[in-house]
Amino acid sequence: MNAVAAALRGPAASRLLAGFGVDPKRYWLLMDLFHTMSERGEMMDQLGRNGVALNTAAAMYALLSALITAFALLAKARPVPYLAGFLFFTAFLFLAVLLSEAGNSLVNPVEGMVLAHQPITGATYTAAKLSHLLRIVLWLTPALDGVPAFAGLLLKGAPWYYPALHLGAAFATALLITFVCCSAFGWLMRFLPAKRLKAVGQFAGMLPFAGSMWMGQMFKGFQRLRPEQWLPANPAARLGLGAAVAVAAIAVVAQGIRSLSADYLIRVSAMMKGGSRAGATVRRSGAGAVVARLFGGQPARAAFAYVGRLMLRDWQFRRQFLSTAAPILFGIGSALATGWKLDPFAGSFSPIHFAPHGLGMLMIFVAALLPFGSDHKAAWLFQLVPVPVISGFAAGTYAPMAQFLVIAHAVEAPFLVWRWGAAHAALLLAFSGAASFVYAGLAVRMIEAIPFTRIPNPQRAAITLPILLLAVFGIAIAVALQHFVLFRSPAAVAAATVALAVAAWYAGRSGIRALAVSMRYQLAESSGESGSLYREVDA
Amino acid sequence: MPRGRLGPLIEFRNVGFAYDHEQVLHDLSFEIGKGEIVGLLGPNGAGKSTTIKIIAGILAPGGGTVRIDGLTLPEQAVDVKQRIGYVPESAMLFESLTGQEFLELCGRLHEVEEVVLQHRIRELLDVFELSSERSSRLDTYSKGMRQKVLIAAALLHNPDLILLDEPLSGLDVNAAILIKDLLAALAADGKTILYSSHVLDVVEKVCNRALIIHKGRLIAEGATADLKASTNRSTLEEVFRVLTGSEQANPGVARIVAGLRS
Repeated sequence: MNAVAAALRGPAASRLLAGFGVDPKRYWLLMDLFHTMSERGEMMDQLGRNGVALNTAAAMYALLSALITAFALLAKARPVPYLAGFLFFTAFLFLAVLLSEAGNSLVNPVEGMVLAHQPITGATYTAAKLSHLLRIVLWLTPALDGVPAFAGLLLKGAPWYYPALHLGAAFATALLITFVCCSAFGWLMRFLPAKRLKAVGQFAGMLPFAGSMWMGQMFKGFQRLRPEQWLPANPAARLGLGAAVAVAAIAVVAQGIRSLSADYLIRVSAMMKGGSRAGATVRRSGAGAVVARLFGGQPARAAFAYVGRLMLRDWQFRRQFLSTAAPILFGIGSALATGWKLDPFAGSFSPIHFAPHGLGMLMIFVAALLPFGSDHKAAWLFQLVPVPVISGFAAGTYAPMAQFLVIAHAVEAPFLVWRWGAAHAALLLAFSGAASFVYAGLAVRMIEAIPFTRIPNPQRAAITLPILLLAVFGIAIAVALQHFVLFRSPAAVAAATVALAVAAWYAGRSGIRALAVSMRYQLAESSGESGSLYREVDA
Repeated sequence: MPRGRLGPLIEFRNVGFAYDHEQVLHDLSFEIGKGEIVGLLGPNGAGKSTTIKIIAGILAPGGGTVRIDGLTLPEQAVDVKQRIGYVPESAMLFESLTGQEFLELCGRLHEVEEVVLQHRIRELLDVFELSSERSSRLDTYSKGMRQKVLIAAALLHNPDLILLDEPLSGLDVNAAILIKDLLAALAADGKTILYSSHVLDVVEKVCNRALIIHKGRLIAEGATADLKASTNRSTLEEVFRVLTGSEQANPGVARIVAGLRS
């Protein structure tokens, strides 16, 4: 290991770095700095620099790919579609992970403000910033493709060298995706004002999911262009055209990567001052007063306003939420867009069955990400809060989630009433509302600290995607039960709704209490007092 | 490294700068010669920190020309950064590093030879009375200690130009006196110093010239004695109040007290 480290810092590697315009001495100084900061917990928000997060993500991806491999083997897949399917899966997941990671690294350079006046070239700085992407590739590629590569030997007709072929192709795909992600940010930096980059960066992680939603339409659009009519018929000419397109693509990617290095440190200050101004206008509504009355006075109102506004404005929360919850958001949109036309009581399957589970998963993702925020250093403010106020504050934290679910169902209502009639619509909405509130009650219990008071943890974001993919199986079973058992009879749905409503009430109440205990424990812990004392007092 | 031509060390000509759509600097022009120690004064939001950040190569000017020792910004920012020491307004540090590690990082980024670097770190930590804390993480330092580390980091590589943005913030009286003496000694040694502060009596004692900016425009410049003479005032604070239109007691003060009583 020491020999590898010595070789990496040796004259040959230094010459290579210098060839790319990177100053080797400062590059390694920055690499050592980032490593020390990660080890000491100061730079925790990047997956590639957080060993625990990376190992957890690798384990989750390995489990997921093992499941898919088992299905593929049972389905007796043939080697070529098997390899192509896994390469597509690898490309898709790396695109989702690396776009988000590159965005976080490049457009949110928290350490950049300290280093901005140091004599470091843009190429050196961006090279050091992006090196951790290669670590992600080195960790996650074997996790994603190790099992399918070796299991591929069991496929009928697979050659003896199949594992090497599969892993080689997977690494090449992952590296290609890495370069594409870096290049995309290079082009953005070239054309976007620095202060807009942060705002755009938070949407980067959503792109692969948005792309997958419209992939079918894009494919159909391409087919409508009738490529067979205008592509050259001669195979050699086609090959030439393909080569020309490949060269152009490589040039675009290379130019994008070059753009990354230009005057990067000059843009850091403007980037850090940028970001989303969404919802920054002062709005007053009656909702705060309602929350104060229902959930616990002014502390609940304070939490409602604080959580509701920072969910819209906190850059780290928005970035992690948009990149991890994108598949759910698109799933809910798709379920509602197609499902409202099909009455689930009419016998045929309606995608609207997915909506309450989608909304519920959204609540769980919000809860998992809520403790982390860009301005976590402002957590001292809560040290000054009198402890009895915390219960109301915890209830107020639940309120924006409840508000969202109520609004979501209220928006659905007119469409469903118009299409299905009042009785069926009311029953479905009541069932969906009760089910999603059960999720919300469970979700609020999962919030482990006062919202936005902890340094962002990439582990959460990294494991949410595989967890979601695994949760799809559970949701599929629940939806099947709804369709085949419950929605055969309105009476059964009504009974299930009552049971779910009771469960939601208890889940919400106990969840809020659990959150209040977590908040008190956090405050006690950070003020150096005994956390267990607060647990005992609360009990 | 290319040396600059003879002439002013800092040339700031018709420089504009805007954050979003808010214009912070309007055609700001001034020059600072080698060996000068100049105070940059102005009320909050006048554009002092923005001006210093542009000179430090941290922000790119929105218009106009900025040259430091003949080097143009932002094109030659890396070369400019080699020869400046900068103490930022807020004490931004890598909190998980120790004082020693942070200073080593800054010195090595400026390519200070290791033996020289260790010697300078020892000296600076000793003078700033931080030797006993050299192995403590910066997140355990007090505000004043962090400020001392920033000042030490700015001096480690023996820069020609020192940019100080509120350098005495958080320092106790003894440390503030030390810094004032240090600045005078550095200026006598030929360093150029641009000193931004709200503490006007310090500027009056330390600087031989002052630039007063208000709402992004230069409203006065000259030797502190000349400024006082031209406005018939005895202190720089009175000059500042006359030039920035804040001579009268702020009526808002009475309103706040009345509001709290109600």
